[in-house]
Amino acid sequence: MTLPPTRPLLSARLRSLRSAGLLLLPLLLGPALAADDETAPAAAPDFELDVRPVLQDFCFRCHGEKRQKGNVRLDVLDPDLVEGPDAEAWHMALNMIQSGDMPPPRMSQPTDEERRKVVAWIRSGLDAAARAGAGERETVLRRLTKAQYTNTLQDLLGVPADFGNVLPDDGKSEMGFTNNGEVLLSSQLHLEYYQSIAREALDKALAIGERPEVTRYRVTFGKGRGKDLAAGHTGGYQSVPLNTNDFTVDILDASGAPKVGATPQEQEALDEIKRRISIGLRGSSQSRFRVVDEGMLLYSALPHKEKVPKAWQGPSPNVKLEMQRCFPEEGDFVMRVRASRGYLFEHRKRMLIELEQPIPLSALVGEPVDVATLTGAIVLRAPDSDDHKNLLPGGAGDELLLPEIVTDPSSARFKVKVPADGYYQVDLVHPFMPADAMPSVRLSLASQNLDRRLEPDEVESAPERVVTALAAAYLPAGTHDLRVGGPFFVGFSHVVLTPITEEHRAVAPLIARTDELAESLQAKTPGLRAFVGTRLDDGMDYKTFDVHREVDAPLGEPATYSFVGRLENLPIPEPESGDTEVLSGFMLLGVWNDHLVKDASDPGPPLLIESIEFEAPYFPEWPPASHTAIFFDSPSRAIPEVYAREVIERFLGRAFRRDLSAAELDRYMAFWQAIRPDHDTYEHSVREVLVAGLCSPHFLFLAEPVAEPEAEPAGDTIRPDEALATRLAYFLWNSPPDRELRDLAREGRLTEELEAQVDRMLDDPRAWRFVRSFVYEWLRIDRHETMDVNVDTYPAFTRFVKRDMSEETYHFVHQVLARDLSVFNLVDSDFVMLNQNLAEFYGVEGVEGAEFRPVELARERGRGGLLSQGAFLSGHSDGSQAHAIKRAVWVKEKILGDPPPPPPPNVPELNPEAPGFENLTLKEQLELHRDSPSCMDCHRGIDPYGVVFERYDAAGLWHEERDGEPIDALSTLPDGAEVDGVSGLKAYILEQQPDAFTGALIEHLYAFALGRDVHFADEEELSRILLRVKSDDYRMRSVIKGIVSSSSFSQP
Amino acid sequence: MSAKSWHLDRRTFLRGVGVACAVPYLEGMSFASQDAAEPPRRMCFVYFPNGCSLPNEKDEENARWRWFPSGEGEDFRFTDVLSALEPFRSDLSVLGGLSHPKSRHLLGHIAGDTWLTGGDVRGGEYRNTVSVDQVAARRLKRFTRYPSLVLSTDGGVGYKSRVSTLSFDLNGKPVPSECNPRAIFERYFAPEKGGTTEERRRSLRQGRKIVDLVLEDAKSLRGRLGELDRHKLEDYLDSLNAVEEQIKRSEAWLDVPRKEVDSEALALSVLAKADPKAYLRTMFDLMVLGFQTDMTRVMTYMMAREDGMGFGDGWPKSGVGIPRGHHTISHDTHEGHWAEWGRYDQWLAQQFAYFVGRMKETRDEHGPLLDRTMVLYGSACSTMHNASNYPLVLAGGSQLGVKHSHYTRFPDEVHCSNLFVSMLQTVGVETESFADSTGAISGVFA
Repeated sequence: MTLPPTRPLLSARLRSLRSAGLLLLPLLLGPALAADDETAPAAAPDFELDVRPVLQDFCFRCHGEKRQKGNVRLDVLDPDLVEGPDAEAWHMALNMIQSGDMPPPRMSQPTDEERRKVVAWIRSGLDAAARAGAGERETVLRRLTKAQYTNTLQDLLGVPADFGNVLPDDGKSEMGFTNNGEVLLSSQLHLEYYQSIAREALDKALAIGERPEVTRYRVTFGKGRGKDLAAGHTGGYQSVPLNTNDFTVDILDASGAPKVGATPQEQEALDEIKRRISIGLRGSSQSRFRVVDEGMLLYSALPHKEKVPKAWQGPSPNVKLEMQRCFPEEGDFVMRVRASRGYLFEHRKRMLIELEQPIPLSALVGEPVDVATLTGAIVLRAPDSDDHKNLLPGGAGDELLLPEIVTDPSSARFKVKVPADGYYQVDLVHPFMPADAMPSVRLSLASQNLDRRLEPDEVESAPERVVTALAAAYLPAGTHDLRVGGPFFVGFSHVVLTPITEEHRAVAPLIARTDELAESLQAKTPGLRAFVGTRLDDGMDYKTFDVHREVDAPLGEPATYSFVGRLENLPIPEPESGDTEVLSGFMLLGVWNDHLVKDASDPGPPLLIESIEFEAPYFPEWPPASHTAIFFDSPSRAIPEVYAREVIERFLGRAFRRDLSAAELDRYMAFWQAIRPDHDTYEHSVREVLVAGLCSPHFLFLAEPVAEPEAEPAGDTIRPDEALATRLAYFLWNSPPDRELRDLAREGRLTEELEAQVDRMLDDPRAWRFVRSFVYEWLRIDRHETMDVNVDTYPAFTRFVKRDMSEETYHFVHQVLARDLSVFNLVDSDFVMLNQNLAEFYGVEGVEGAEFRPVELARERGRGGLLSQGAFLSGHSDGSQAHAIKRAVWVKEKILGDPPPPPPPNVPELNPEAPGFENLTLKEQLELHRDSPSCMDCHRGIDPYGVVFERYDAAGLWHEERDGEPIDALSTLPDGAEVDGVSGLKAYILEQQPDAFTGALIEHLYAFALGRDVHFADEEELSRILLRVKSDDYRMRSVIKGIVSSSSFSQP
Repeated sequence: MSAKSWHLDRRTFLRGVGVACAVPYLEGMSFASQDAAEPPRRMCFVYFPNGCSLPNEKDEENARWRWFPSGEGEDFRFTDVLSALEPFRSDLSVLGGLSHPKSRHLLGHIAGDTWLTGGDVRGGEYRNTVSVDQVAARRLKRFTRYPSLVLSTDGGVGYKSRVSTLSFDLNGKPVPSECNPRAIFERYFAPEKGGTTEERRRSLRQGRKIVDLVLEDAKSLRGRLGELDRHKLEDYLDSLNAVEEQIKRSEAWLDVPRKEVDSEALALSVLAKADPKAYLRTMFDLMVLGFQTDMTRVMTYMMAREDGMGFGDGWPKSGVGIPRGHHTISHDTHEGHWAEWGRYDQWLAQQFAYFVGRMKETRDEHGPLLDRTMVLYGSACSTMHNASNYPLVLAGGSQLGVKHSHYTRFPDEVHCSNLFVSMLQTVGVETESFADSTGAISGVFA
C-alpha cells in the first residue's frame, strides 16, 4: 500500500483563516493587502459622528430593532470595544463588511469613504481592545467534562466503570465543543452526583473485607451430552430454546472444577441453579446453527433489518446463556469461549436425501437382486426389527411385516451398524400394492424423517416383491437407529443399505457444491463478538463488550477466547420487586459469529463453540491492584496516623494532578481526625477523605494559576509546569497526565521536551480518547448516531453498518495522526479505512475481517477523505433523502471554517410556492430557493457546496443515475469556480483553498486544546501556527505541535 | 440503550415512599406558620417542540387538523388534535395569541430557550433570565423537601439556542434536567436507599462535612485565579451552597414521617426510544407522585427538544407510525402533511391528557391534585418556526381561582409574561411583573 505523497505548497498566498477574512496582522500582510492600511486616516473616526449614521443607513434595516437577519443585531452593540462586551460582534461585522458580503450587492451601498470610516473605526477599536487585553481571553477555568471525568476516575482508580454516565450531559460551545470552559456549568445536581459517584467509585476500587464469593458457570455443547442432566429450558414468545439434551451446565468452584453435591440435598441445590441456566437462540434462523457432537456450529451472523421487534433479537444466529436471578450485579467479569473453526453442517446434516432420480438397486448390485445373497450391502430382515407398533407378521414364511390397521401409523426399528463413513442408498423390499391403496412409507434415520408415497407401476399381474429406492443417506461409522412405518404403510420384508460412491448422481452434485463452498470459506476466518443483555418480552436489550476476536484455531484444536467486561456498564436486568415472573430477571451472556454476512444464503466461515464460561466478579489477583495502589505497602503501615498521611498524600497528589502543600495536607488530615469516629474501620475512614478529595474543585476543575513569576510557587495551586502537563494530557488523551508527564513537570523539563512528549502521547493508546472525543464533536458524528435511517429504503443499513461508519471516521483521522500524514488527506486521500462489513456496504470487494485497515482505492465513487464518509453523509440527510443544505453548512463550517449564519425566522427551508415544485430535482429546487429574495442572501453562499453531494444518497451510497437520468452534480461556487461532484470540490479545496481548510482544522483543534472558542485576539497565534504547518509540509502532527508550542497553550 | 444508575444500590427496590404529613420547622428558613396550614398551591409546565399543525383557516379539508379549537370563548369546539382533552373541558382552557415579544422575530427553535423566561437572546451575547418556575420555587420551596423538579426526556441542558431544559436559575443559567425514571425515583422518593433514618442522618452529616472541607479548597483556590476564572468558580460555590441548603432541608425533613404510597405500578425501566408512550407515562406518573407526596410544588418537563434533536424526533415513527421525524414534519409540504402533523399533535395531546387525568383522579387530603395545580402545556412557536401565537393549554387550579372551559385569543399587546405574572400571584408570589410583562392577564384568573 502506498500512502499519499506530500503535497507541494499549493499556494504561497497568505489568506485569512476564515474565508470571510480574519484580520491579518501587519507582520503577515503581503504588499497587496497592505495598501488597505495606507488609507487609514491619521485620526480615528468618531462613532456618533462618522460611524453610527452609516450603520443607520445601510445596516440597521436588517440588523436592527425590527429585524435581526442572520440573528445579527447591530444597533445595540456597545461602541466601547475596550470596556464593553461586544468586541467580538464588531469583529464579525468587520469581516462581513471587508469581504464585501455586506451590505448585500443588490442593496444600496455606502460610499468608499463611508465604508473606509466604518472599517477604520472598528479596526482601531479592536486594536485598542487587543492592546488593553480586554479581548484577550483568560483561559477559563474548566470543569472536567463527562468524558474527562470518567477517564480521570478510571485512570486514577484503575477501575473501568463508566462512572460519569449518570451525570447530566454537558452543553456545547458555538464551535461545537463540550470542553469549553464558558459552557461547562456546575449545578447542585452535578455536585450531588460527584459525591455519590466518588463514594461508590472508591467502593469499587477498594477491597475492604473478605474476598467476595465467585460465581462461575460453564455450559458445554454436544449432541445428546446433556441427556438426563439438570439444565434450564426457557420458552416464551418467539423463543428458540436449546434442547436440554444438547448441552450440560457445570457450576465451578474457584479453581474451575465442577462442583458435585456431597449429599443428595447438596446436589439438588446445585441442580436447582443449573435449571435456571438455559441456552437461547431467539432471533436465530434454524438453518444457521446446529448442535453437533463436538459442540455448537454457528454460521456467520446475518444482521437483522432494523425493524422492531426483530431488530431487538440480535443478529442471526446468536447464542446466549440465559441466567435467571443467579448472577452478581456488579464488578468485572470474564467470559471464556472455547472455540475453533467449524464446518458446514449442510452436507453432513442432510443425512437423508430423497432421491429425485433413483437408481434401481439392480443397477447397483447387478441383476437379479437376491437379498439373501447380497454382499457388500447391509441387509436388514423384517423379523429382526423390534419396537413394533401396529405391525403383524405376514407373507408365506412370516418374512413380512404388515400394518394391522392400514390408516394408523406403524413403526419398526433396526439398530444399524455402519462399518465406515459414507453414503448409502436405502431400498425397501415390500409387497406390491396398487396405487389406489395409497401405499406409503416413512423412513426415519439419524433423527430425520422422510415420507414417501409409493408410485407402483401399472402392472397386469402383481409381482410378489417390489424393490423401491427410498433415499440416500450420509452415515458416519457407528450404530444408527433406523425406522420404517408411518400411516398407510406398505409393509416390508427387507431394508437394504447399499454403499454408493460419491459419483452417485444424487450425491455428487451436492458434494461438489458443498466442497466448493467449504473451500472458499476456509480462506475466511470466523470471529467472536460477545454481548450482555436483558431478556425482554419480544427481544433483548443488549450491548457488546470487549473487542472482536478472530477465531483461527483449527477444527479439532479449540482455543479459549476470553472477554472481560464490567457488569454495571452493561444492560443487565434492573433489580426486581420480588414478584418473580417466569420470564423475567434473565441476564443474557452471548456471542455471535462476527464474520458478518449480508445474505441469508451465505453461511460465512462456520464457527464451532465447545463451551462458554462465565465468572464474576473476576479478580485476577487478590486484593485487586486497584486496592493496593491506594493502600500500598509501606514501612509505616503499622502507624495509623503516618500511614494515613502517606495514603492521602499520594492519592490526592494524583487526583489534583500536582503535589500537595503541607498546609493543605494538614487540612485533609484534620478532616480525617474529625470524621474517624464516624467509621467502623480504619480503611473506611481514610476512604472518606479520598471521597472528599474527589469533590474538591482541585480535582473537578482544570485550574490555571495566574502567572506570578516572582511569587513563591503557590502551595495549594498548580505550578505552571504541572498545569502544562495537565493541559497537554487533557488535550491529547482527554485524560489526566501520567507519571512521566508529572515527573517531567516536577523536574522542570517538560517545556524543553514538549514536542517529544507530543509524539509519545500520540503513539499511546490513550490518543484514541482524544480522537474519539474531538472527532465526534468536530465532525458532528452525533448527527449520524441519532439519525433514523429509513430501513425500508435502505434495508442493508444495519446497526453494524452505522457503527462502522462512525468507526471509519475515527480510524481515518487516527491514521492520519498516527502516521503523521499531510492534513490534506482529510480532504482527499488515496486510501480509505474499511473493514469487511462497511466495505461490503459501500460495494468495495476484497476486504475480509472485522478490523479496520487502510485500503488503497483508486478514487472511485468519490471515496477518500472526510467528505465522502458515511458518517458525514448519512448524518447530514433526513434519513430518507440526502440533504444538500445540511451537507453544505457542514462543509462551510467544518472544512472551510466559514460557518454561515443560522436560518432566519418565519421562512420555511424549501417553500414550494412554485407549481410542479415536487417534480423538480433537488438542484432545481435549490435554484428556485436562491431566487427567492428572502433566502438568496445566504443561500447563494451555501447551496452550491451541497449540490456536489448529489450522487450520495441518505445512507452514503453512490449512484450514477436517478430515475434513469444521470445525476447532475455540477455546481458553481460563490467565487465562480465550477466544480463537478465531490471530487471537483475536493480538488477545488486543495488547489484554491488549501489554507482555508488548514486554518479551519487549526482553529478547531486550537479551540479543543484550550477549552475555549477562537477569538479575534487569537489571530496572530493562529497565523503563526499556519505558517509553521506550511513550512512543515502540512503534516498533521505539526498542527498539534504548533498548537502546544503556541504561547496561548504553553504559557497562558 | 439503557442509561443505568449503577451507582445506586441495585439491590434495593423501593416499594414504599412517603408523604409529608406536616411541614417541619426549618431553622434559618423563614416561613409563616399559617402558610404551613394552608393547602398547597402548585404549578407545572409541560413543553413540546417545533410548534403545531395550523393549516390555513380557509383550508376546510384540513380543518380537523388545526391545533386550536374552532369557535371562541365558551362555545369552542376541539378539533381532532386536542379531542383527547374533551373529558377535561371544565378543567382547562385554551389560550391563543400569546408570545414573548423579544422572541417573536427569532427562529422558532431558539424561542424554546425563552418559553418560561421571556428572556432576550437576540444579541451577540446570550442573555437569558430566570424562568417563571424558579421564581415560584424560590417562594414555595419552604414548604417542601425539594424546591423544584426539572425534567426532560433528553437530560442535561443541551446548548444555547437548543436547550434541553425549561428552567433557568436566578442568574439565567440553565438548570440541568433529569431524564432517567429510575434515577429520579431513587433520588427524590427513596433517598434512604432502604436504610434507616439514622443511616440517612449519618450520610447527610458526612455530606455536610465534605461540603465544609471543599468549600475551604474553593476559597483558597479562588484567591489564585484571574477574574474570569474566579467568576467561574462562583458557579461552583453557588452550587455548593445549594447542596448545603438541600442537606439542611433534608435534615430538617428527616423526622417527618413518609406516608406509604403505592409505587409498585411504576415502570422504571422504560426506554424513551423504544416505547415513547410508556416512557412519557412513567414520567407523568413520577410527576403525579411528586405532587401527591408534596415532594415539591414546582415542576417543568420538556417532553422533547427543538429542531430534530433528541429522542422526541423519532416519536412520530415509533409512536404513531409516521415515517418522518417531528422536525421534518414541521417543515413538510407534501400532500397530506397537515394530517401527519395533526395526527402527531393529537398523539402528544393524548399523552398530556393522560397526565391531566391522573392529576384529576389522584387526591391528597385537599382533594384532587389537579384542582390545586396549574398545568401549562404548550410550545414556543406556532407553525413553521413562527415564534408567535404559542399553542397553550392551561389546565387545573380551579381551587386556586383559575376560570376554565374557554378558548381565549389574546391580542399582541398582551405578553405571554402577563400570564406568568398571574400564575405567580396565584401561588402566592407577591409580584406585579415578570420579565417584559405589562401587567397581569385578564379573563383567566378570578
